[in-house]
Amino acid sequence: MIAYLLRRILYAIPILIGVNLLTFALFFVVNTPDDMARMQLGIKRVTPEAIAKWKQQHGYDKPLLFDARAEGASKLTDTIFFEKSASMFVFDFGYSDDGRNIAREIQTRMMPSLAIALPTFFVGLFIYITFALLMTLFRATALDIAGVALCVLLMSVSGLFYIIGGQFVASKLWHWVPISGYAGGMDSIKFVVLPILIGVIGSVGASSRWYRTIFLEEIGKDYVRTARAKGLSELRVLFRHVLKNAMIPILTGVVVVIPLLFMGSLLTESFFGIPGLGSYTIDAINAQDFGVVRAMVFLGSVLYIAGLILTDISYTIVDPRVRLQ
Amino acid sequence: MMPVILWTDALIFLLIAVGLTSAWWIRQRPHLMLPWQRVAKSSVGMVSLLVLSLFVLVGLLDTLHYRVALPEKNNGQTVYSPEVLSAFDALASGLRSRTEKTYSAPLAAYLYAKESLETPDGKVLRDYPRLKFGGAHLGDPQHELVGDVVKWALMGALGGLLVGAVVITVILVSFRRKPESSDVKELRSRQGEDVVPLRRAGLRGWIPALAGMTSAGPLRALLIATLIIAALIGAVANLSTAYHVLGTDKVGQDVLYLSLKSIRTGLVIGTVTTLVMLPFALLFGIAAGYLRGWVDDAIQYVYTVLSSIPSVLLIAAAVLMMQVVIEMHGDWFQTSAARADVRLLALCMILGVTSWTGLCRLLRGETLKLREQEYIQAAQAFGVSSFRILTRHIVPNVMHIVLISVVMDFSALVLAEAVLSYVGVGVDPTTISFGTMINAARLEMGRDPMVWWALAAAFSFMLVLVLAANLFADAVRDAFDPRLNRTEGAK
Amino acid sequence: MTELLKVSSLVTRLNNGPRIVDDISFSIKQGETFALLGESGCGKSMTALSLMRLLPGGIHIESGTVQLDEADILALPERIMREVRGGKMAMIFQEPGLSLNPVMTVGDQIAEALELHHELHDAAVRARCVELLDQVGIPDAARRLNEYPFQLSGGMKQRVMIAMALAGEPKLLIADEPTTALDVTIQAQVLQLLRDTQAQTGMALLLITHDLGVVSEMAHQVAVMYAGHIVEQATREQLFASPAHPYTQKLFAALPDAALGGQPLAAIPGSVPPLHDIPKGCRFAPRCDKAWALCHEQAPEWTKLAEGQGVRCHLYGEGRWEKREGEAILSRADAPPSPASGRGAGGEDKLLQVSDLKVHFPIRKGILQRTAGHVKAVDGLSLEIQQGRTLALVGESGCGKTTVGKALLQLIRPTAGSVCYAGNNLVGLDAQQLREQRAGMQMVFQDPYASLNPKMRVAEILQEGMDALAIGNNGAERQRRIDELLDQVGLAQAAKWRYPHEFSGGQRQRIAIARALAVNPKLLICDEPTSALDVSVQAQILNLLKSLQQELRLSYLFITHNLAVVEYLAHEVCVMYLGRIVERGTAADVLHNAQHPYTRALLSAVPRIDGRGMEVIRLAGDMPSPANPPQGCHFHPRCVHADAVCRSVYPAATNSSTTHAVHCHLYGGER
Repeated sequence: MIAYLLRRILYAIPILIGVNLLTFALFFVVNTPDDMARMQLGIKRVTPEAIAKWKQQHGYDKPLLFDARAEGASKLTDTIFFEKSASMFVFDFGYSDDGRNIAREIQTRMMPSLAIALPTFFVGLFIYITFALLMTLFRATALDIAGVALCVLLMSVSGLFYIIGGQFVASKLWHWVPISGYAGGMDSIKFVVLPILIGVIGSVGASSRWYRTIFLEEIGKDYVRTARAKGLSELRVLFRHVLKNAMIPILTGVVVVIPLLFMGSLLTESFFGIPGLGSYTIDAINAQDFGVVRAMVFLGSVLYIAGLILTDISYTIVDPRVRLQ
Repeated sequence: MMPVILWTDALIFLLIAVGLTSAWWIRQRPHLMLPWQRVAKSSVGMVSLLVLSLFVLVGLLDTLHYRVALPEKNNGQTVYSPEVLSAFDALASGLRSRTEKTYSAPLAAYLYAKESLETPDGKVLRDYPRLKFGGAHLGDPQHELVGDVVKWALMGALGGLLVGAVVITVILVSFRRKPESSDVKELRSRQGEDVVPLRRAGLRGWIPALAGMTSAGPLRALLIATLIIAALIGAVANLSTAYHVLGTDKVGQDVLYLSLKSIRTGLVIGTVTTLVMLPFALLFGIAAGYLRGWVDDAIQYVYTVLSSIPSVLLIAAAVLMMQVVIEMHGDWFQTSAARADVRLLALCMILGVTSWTGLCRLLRGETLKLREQEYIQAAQAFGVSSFRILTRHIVPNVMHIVLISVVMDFSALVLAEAVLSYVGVGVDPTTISFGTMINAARLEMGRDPMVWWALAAAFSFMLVLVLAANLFADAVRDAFDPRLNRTEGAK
Repeated sequence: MTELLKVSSLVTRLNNGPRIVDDISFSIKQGETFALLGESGCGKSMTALSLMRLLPGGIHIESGTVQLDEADILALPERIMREVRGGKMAMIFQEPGLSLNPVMTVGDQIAEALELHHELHDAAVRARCVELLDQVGIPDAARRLNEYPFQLSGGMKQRVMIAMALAGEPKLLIADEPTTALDVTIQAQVLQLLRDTQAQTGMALLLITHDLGVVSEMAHQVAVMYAGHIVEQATREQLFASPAHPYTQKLFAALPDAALGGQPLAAIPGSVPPLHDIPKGCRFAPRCDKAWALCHEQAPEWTKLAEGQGVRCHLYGEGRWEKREGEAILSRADAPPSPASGRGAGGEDKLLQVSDLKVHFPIRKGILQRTAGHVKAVDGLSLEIQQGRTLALVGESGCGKTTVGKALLQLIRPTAGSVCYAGNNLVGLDAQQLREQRAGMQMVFQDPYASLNPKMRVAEILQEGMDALAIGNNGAERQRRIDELLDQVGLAQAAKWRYPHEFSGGQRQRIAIARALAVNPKLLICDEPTSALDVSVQAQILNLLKSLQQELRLSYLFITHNLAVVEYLAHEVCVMYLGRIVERGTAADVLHNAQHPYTRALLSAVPRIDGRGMEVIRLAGDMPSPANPPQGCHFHPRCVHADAVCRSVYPAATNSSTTHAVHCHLYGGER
């Protein structure tokens, strides 16, 4: 089993190299640094000198992959690829267009992101599973049908509506919480309650329905019939047998996103003015700050792969077949 | 007038061609008809299909593009207006051209903002000015407005009902005359399905048939839905000739017009994206599953890399780069519509590239299961080539997965467009879409009184479209999922 | 003895749909075994689930009463019913592999039942668990408690299921096809266990099965079900001595048996009617050769024949009993004798010669997935088949017999050895060279539901091979050939425009045979072609295979676990154990003069309907994994005769006659 996990971790390396090459191709080959400079400086009145200056300022004045003029190892290291892309492997993301260290920025912005993403995730998981279990327990009754109908309705509503509507009702109409903003420490609670609530409601439809499908699939299996034939009550069948087995497919979809919680939510953070990584990304996209976007892409895939490995580990916890073989 | 075929138009036409061909193909094969007949038996599915087809109709009308010839000629050469219009614009020219100065509320007769008005006696006072078009026929809007709106709405609804009834009658009569092919009937009776009473009604007139029909679930639901929708459309259409039913936006454009124009964008995103990704997902998925070995390793590697980048970020990065390319090559496009269209197409492609991995993985898994099936081994024992096995055995047996995932993805893509456009990596700002509408309207949230109608319109249209799509997708999934429809049990 | 369970007029149906269980009455006495016999889809399992009130959604009990120990089961509130389930009445199921919770330990699952029905403390629960596992014959019970189901073999899992059922000390145990998913040697163990347990506890047993052999070994009372009805009920002795209902008679006649020689089996035409298409009169009438007009119009009433025997058939209603009396049970005598016995009709030329065939699958382990060992699925197998002859390859699941079939066709590339078809070695040929040889050797697969592509018409299915191997010059010629093939396998020509889902299992298997025949093969590899079919349909297919052999001088490699089929069809027999052949010879050599202890155990484990007594050899334990075969003779851990030599040296072949060879030290020179 340890060998298996080690193998998965080793497999992450070629994947990350692939991600790195892909972003490099996207950011430096599809568009040359000249294009980017022209874009940033305005297309109309731009001189070659201005472009050269911009490139030099941002460190894009080097060759892409191979520096023929340099000596020795620096033939390879004194290049855009090495400085901008390969350096990401050691989490050196360089500087953003406004001159800040991206890595440090990421560190300080992680906490506000987590303050929203973590509670949203766990509260949400609890509510979705509870709701799904209720529907499963009352399956094929009017309650179940109404529940499913509600789920379909909720998942058909745009996420933007929940945010805008929530802000309007909770902040503007009832003045419960500030519309947006953030503060450190305990003060943060009043800022994060609404985003968390909206985050949870936003995916209650799709998630509950998905969990319900999983539970229903489990409940049709033979071992459930065996459990009933023992004389177990429906509740005990559901909690002791179905839930335990359903954890395997549930974990597949759930554990993988846990590390990504660090990245925060783009929408929620920008609407609520939370200074997290999500709003950082959005600001960078709007300001066309390629350095930050590149860093976030890489960070995102590192976290995703960490999620995959975590998923494998979680299997060994819930599934004895994986653990013991 | 010069017809214009934009890139997305061409793809939509291709999609229609594919759809019609496969419909014809399925008609020929009773076993392929079976699941569709199950769909046809779901009331919810059929009503949502009706709603969806109305959206599709608007979208299609909006796809027939042209440029108007300008009156003046240049050396005998006809000069065309740079503005690209569509058949829908021509139909709704009233909506399109009746623009006000700025915001106005739904069904209002006055502008949203106060202005300095000069009274006939020369005094200047600040008040809400009358709209140029909305309720312009009223002498005293303050008293007459409500009654007038109700009158127009009722008249419209009545007209709509009438048209709806005529349409239903025409359809029913032609429907009844067409006898069911004996194949289908035989299959039905084999399945133990009831033949709809209408079909047994014979030639003795359609009134008893109508009465009998009210007992058949989907038909009755369709009937009621058609009438309700017809009345609604009638009321709105009639009102919109005299009022701005959903108000106007910042530059005075009719919000109803904007909402209807947004439909095409949503549909394009929801369908063309799928069209772009499908060949990749299908080819790579079944190739990886069937051929195994290094092909499998390579394909798995590619999709793990692609799916390991959070999709919003990958889309954002790709769209940013695409923007730079388009900005740099402004000379590629004759009209701004063509440029916006290419951006829309590029967005579809990017969405497609980032979202094919899920379907690919599903298809790979299914193919892995299928290749162990005995009928595949029987084919291998005949020395049938891999290509033939893939096309004749594997593809037909994974098509239900493709279909289910395509209809399920549609609504997710429509919703994604709004979010991406809001984030700034969606469609071109000049393209009318739900996302751009929401984005523009959001800035006015802070105003007092609130400008809520543009948001409300965009969200409601989206809700109806996505809800109908979701419900239809459910009906399709229920009908096609072999786990839910075991017609034959091995045990 | 008192009546423990009394079921009267039970009706179970789909909601607003057809009746699945239709007006069933029977009763079971304490300590008695009552067998419910029938083919698939006739409502046996639904009857059992109705008694437990565990029907799946969409199916409900409409009317009738069920009394268990004076309690009216159908009227009990759900809370009380839960005490009955697992308490007074317990149930075990067909698929032990699926019926245990995969993520709970065996101990927890048994303990759960104990805690529910007895007030026991933790330590006592554990002790009782060990006791129960001991009782069902699981060695090293205390350690097994902490294991998960996937760590146990199929037979062990079924024992755990039984232990779990026994936890509540039930008065009635319902066993739904408890051994169908198990191999014969394991089946014998489990049936023995059920008998022993019954003797110890005095519980009643409701045994649901399709296997007449199992019935003859286990039952006191038998009820035969057909399409939701009980068509005949009798004591075992009565039923086996004089089956009354034509259906029961046909079931007996359809059993393959060597005694028949070359005569065709009495197959029942058609198949069990689907639920929504139940015939109006007697449900068996469309398949019954004794039916007359009345049978097609009016459903027969229950007729009591003798003490303990009753039947639902017009033949016995209103004085017709005498008319039919004296007719031979074996209606197979009615069947026209076949022209010539296939036995011994073979030529001398060797069509297929396999020598030292090995198929090893690598086991990859560790970070770099290095090959750490091999699963030796087939390990040095040699055989030959002559034209027009049938070689049966017999073995239990996991012995590698299916792999042999696929390796012969090069669907799995062999690791070593040679496969010579008509003098050409197929091993190592490339795809193009192989294609030239493919027409000669074709395969018929086990599961007719999985072996036909559901998206292709029958004509397309049959044409595929002809297209691929360029048989027939043009379309018209191929179409003619398709018509001819359908005739040959006994299907209407109209069938070619239909899709597989419109056919029953037996018809599908005919299509599969026609597909293989389409390219004019000389050798058919039949991989368990009848094991997914009901007995009555199995007989149709066996008859077809036999007549095709005589007509076309086909050779068969018949891969099976069913020794009765072997007796009926095979000229030569090879017995396989763990990837190797342990005994080979003519059918008579192997079946009537078996020498290898494994062959003998296998033969004695088959339940026989005629009670022909053989010495009963019960094999202990399970077949070891082919990844890690035992040192020496592979069979020694389960062999009562094993000694030191067996544990160290694999026995060489010993010929006891020119045709008969065995790999066993008992007959070799070493001892």
